[in-house]
Amino acid sequence: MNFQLHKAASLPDAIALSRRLAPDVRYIAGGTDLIIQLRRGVKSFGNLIDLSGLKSLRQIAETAEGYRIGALCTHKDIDLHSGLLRDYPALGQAARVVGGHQVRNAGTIGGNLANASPAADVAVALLGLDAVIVAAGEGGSRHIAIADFFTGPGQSLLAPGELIEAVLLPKPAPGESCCFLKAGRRKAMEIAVVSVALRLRLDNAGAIADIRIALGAVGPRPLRALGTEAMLLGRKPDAALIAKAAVAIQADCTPRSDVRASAEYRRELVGGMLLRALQHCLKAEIPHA
Amino acid sequence: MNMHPHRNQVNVGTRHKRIDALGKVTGATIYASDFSLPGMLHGRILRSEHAHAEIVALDLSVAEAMPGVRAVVTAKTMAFHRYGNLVKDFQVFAEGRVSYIGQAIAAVAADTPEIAEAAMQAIRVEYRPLPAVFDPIVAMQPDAPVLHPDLLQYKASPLADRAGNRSGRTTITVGDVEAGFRQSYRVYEHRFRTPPIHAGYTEPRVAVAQWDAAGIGTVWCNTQLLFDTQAALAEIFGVNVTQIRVIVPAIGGGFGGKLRIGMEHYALALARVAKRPVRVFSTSHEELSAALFRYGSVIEVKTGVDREGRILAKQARAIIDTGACSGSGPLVASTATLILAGPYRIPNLLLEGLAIYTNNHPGGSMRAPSGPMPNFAIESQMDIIAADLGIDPLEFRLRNIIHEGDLSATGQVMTGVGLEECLLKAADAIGWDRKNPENNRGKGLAIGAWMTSRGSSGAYLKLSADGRFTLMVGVVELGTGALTGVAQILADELSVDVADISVVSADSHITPYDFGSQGSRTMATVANAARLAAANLLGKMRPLAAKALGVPEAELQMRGKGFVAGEKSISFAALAAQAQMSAGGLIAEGTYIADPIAYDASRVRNHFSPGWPSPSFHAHAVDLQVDPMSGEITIKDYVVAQDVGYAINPSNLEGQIEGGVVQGIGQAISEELVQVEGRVLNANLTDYKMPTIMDVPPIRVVLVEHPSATGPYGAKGVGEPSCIEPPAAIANAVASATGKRILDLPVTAEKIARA
Amino acid sequence: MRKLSLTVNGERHDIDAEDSATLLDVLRLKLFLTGTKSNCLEAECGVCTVLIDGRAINSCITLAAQCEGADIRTIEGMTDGDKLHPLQQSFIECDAVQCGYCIPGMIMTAAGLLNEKPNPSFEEIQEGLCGTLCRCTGYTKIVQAVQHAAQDGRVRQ
Repeated sequence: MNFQLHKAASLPDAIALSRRLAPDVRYIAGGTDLIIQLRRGVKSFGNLIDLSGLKSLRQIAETAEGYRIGALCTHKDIDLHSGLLRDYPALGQAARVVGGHQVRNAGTIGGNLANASPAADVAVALLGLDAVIVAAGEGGSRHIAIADFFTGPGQSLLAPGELIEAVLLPKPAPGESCCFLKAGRRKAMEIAVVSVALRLRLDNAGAIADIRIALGAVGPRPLRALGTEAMLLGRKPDAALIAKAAVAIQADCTPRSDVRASAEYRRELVGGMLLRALQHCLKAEIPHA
Repeated sequence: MNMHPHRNQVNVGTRHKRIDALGKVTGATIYASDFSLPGMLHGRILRSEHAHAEIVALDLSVAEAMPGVRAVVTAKTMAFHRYGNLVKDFQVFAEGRVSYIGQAIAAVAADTPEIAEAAMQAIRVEYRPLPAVFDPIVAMQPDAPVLHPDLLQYKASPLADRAGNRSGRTTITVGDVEAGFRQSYRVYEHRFRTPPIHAGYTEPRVAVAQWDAAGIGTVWCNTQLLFDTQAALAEIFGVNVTQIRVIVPAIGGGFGGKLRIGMEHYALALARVAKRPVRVFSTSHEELSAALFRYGSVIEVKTGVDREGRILAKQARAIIDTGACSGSGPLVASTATLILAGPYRIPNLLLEGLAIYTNNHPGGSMRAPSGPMPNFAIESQMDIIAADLGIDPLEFRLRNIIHEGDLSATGQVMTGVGLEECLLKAADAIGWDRKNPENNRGKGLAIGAWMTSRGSSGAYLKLSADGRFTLMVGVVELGTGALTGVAQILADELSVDVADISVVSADSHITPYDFGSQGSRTMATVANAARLAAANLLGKMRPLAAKALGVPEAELQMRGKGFVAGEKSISFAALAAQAQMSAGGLIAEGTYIADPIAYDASRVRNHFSPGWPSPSFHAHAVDLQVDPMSGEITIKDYVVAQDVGYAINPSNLEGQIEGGVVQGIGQAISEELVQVEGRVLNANLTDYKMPTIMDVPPIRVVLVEHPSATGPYGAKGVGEPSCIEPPAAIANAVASATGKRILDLPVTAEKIARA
Repeated sequence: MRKLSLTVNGERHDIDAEDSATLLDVLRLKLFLTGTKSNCLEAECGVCTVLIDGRAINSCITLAAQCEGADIRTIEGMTDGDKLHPLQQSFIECDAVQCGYCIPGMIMTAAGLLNEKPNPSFEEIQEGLCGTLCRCTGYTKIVQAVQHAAQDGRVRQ
């Protein structure tokens, strides 16, 4: 681990530094993933640009459309924000199971996204919440829908020199509910074996009017279960439908076997966890068909 | 040593606060990893990437030429002798051939850890792979690759019965098992597997070494065994033992994983070449891929019972995968035979312990090294049999457990047997009679016995002119509180406060010989040596006091930190001052070893531990819930009833038991070093799953006291055994909750869900 | 190499350090504050925990240069002269210490928890300490120690 650290004084300064030092450069915020990867030798950069001084990126603002969460907000900042917890329970549920408190106090939401781990908890929750990522680069800022953002393990649409400035969350629609579930091998300090984020809204007739299902650790990136979403949309969620969805969702993911779990187990878990998440969001007992 | 409580018992038996706590809560305690010397270099070790290969070429030139590199050491640098505690099959550096991934090939010392790392990476090794074997069952076949062709030429313990890939074989034979099986109503046969486990100490192994002008090599390190380390290093470097000095400033956990040399030999070798002090600190990756793990094993058990649920015969074998060097394997396999027997009355036994070489990384002696693997097997099978016979598992055990005066499998007469009381108390505390209140909820039991290891302890004791006593002992305070217990005992023996006792430990050139901090023996054995030293010192103090007071010795009484005779008195401080002026000062020593335990030699072959001094007995009971969707286990309650003989310090004993249980829970449900073809795939703490505080409930401890005949005040060894029973207790509870029986540890959520 | 100004336990230190130096490196090797321990270096074990502006973090993965201007507190800064912090006192009283190697990190983790939740429930204590591993105690007495310290507002805010 050997690099030069450059402290960015402002967002434009950070971007200018990045251009000057390219390509052997990387942004660092909390460093909770990056330092480990650098020390293991998995990654190596001659230059790091320290964003931690950009206090303006560590604000959570409520807007008419929803929330704007600065990229430097930590997992703990999210967990302590009553408005976010009220409007998006899934986000708090995800932020609260990232590492220990030490990591939650340092690791940032921008870092969690930019790191683009297929198992990232907050990234999966945000995928389920239709977040929009505000990326800042030389040409100014642009908005990227989170569904498009992740392109592969550790890879995203961020262009060289671009950094995440903020995350936008739309205001939840009336009657909308959401949750985040995670399975690991321990009850804390876990990288997800499988995670599921669900957001759901029923219409007046009790049919599913809107649904997002996001999955972690069952593919090369955080995934949307588009097939299952389509299957459920417009239907009344009775027990038979939910059971069908729990099977169908296995086709929406491509889990792999690793030291944490087998692909087969992950597939089974995804179904069971979707069922749990649906039950949770529908609150009441599922009516029998 | 007599078991009767001392007449002046003030501190013994109390929850006296630890004598080492203040430094630990303030950060002031200097651990081995905090130790440094001026001009100290930093060492790194190049380790094999191949499980079995010839080293065709080894190119050090780039590393040696790097600025800041001060030494590069390989097998060719100097004469290193083979070492090993039972069979001399370890090499410091590979010589022409590597036989496991993680085997040291070279070591580098440099000005900074970063330069050392870069130099290590710059060493080029060319390998030619050889056929390898990773499963001990396969390694036992006649056509398996042979790891040590010259095995019979190695120096070894005469009990290490070697042949082919076998470094040890122990048997116990009682009665006639075949006849027992013929008489049986039913016979059950199962095979269990357990993976290697890391001891999980929080302070990695570390050594700082320096050679002085007189040719004495000193290492500051975190070994559990000062004198074993001293002897091993002397052997490796071909010097006298007193040319090696071992000092342990303080140690951050051991649990058996720091019994044998880890970094010390590399640091000494590098320091000798560099002529500078060298520090070698084990990285997290090295710890989890190249440490002395608890052995993986295969356990086969065949048991015959009658209709009433009495065990008539048991044939079992424990196959210990030692990895490429035998380490503690022959001893672990040997002791495993007694765990296979279990604390049960069984008239016919044929038990076998085998230590088998494979191309996996060598293991060692984690806490109760022979305990959890066979216990998991036999106690799981007890529940399988009970269920099949329709007998309650508690009742089935009660029908078969040993009682006072029964013989062990080796023919030892068992005394101080508190097993039934433990079993009943644990069952009562967990609410055994109450049905499982919810679906997927279950309770499980497991019982066992363990020993208090023998081995010598020495103690020096001196009285200073401030009236305070200093005890010098050659053990390491592992964190068990053993030396607090010793100080409590000594304070009562000398009628002073615990604060009047200072304990100096763990410097091989100053403190007396000791077998070391292992085998649940430290408190019991060191205390007995210290008590003898106190008796000897009092034997010197009394005549001096009688003379000073002008009274007969018989009239002296110890009181108020001095001697009193009627109206006359002299304080210990004044006595020490007088003795320093006129009688050569006050110093005494004591040495102790437990008497050997009688057993029936006709029952055993090549047994390392046939007689168990001060055996301890334990019953574990757990109440847990299983999520039927994910298989995830939530432990609701956990109770241990343990026969500790006598609780010198109940708090510290509870702490030992609580900690051991949590290690056992880790082994039961989450911990395993996942090895594929000799490579550990989860060599980091992200994927090596030690229990967090969220994974365990508060552990409830019931102390049962059936005194030992030899331990101080009746105390038995307590440190190790609480990690033995959790895997079986939990597997049994999972079976009770779900009907699913898992025979391979760990009992993970995935295995339960997919069973 | 860069010049750093760090405020540790209320005292300002001007030092030279590599850009890549972690806070753990600087505390242990430059300031000789060896009470903060070193183990996994991957934010998994928690023995290196210190407080930054009152919040627990892993010093092993925190760059020292990112800590300028922050209030850094280590185990050495928990005592007030000879007076122990209530957490230190209760870890002794509740026999929550064994080998002691995780204890500085555990106490700092607990201090961070109590800064956030002065009167934590049993479950909140368990959850609050989940980032720090102890291999000796089995945690039972550690939870008791934190409960004991938190009782009656013994911990200064």
